[in-house]
Amino acid sequence: MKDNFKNTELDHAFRQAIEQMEVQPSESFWNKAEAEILKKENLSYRRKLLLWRSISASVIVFLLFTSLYIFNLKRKTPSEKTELIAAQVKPNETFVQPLSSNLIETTNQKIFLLIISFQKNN
Amino acid sequence: MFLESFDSEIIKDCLKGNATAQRLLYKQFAPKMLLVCLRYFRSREEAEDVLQEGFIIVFEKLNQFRGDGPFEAWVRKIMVNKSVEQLRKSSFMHPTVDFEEADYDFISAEEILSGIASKVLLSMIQELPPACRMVFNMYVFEGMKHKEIAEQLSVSENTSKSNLFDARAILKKKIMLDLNVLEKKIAMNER
Repeated sequence: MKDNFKNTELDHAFRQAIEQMEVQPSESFWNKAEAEILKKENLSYRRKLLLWRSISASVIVFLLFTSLYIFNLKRKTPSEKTELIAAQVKPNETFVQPLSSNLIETTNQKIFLLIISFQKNN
Repeated sequence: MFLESFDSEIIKDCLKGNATAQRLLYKQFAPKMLLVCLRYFRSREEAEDVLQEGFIIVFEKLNQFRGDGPFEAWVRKIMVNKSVEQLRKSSFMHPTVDFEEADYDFISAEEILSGIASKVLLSMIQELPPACRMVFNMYVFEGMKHKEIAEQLSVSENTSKSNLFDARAILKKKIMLDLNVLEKKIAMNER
């Protein structure tokens, strides 16, 4: 074999000739590709649907529990309510200072005297 | 630069599950990648099947593309690996062909090959025995070294070298035969 047909030349020539080529796939390839794309699209829709379903299910469960809690709170008897309120109020808290009995008595006497003097004058 | 940014836009949209972007990716790369697969398979059907499977892998692994190199090279690597994997299932890695040495004229390979259509050259590669075809493609087109080829195909380096030697010899013979046919046709037309 004559060595003039060098291996590197052969490799290079093949590379140059073939690497520039492009081959259009057949109709059946494009059909399969389209089917594959649609399959992926459907899968993505299904995933989204599943996500939205779980979100809405969680919201429904949350709303259900909240309304049940509120309903139970409203259903409680008045005595239970007072107990509840009493339990919430701190024992040290006093809203109005009670008046002393002496102060009430003197005030009553003063009013009585005022009324008598008013009647005498008239 | 434009192509790269165009690719990255397509990739981003494909990752979002955009069907239009996926169609664009197919359109942009299918013709180039079909050629890659055709170098490994004799029949177009086989090549297209591998191309389809290759694209499925491309979409599955798209989030793993880091952008270190060109996207086309990444896709090509997937196609080559898929082709080799498929071909290895159905072929043995031993030199199987006997050939007679042919006489060649003192002209360069490029000169000779310029007279032969690219399609004919492609069919010459396709007609190589599977083992020779794989090694020739990996060495010449993918730029792999014998060590890498041997590792990927689980054979010895010597087997890889021997397959490449056979492939080149067969191709040289086919080229000369093709030129002889061409010369005879020209001579017939001249008469």
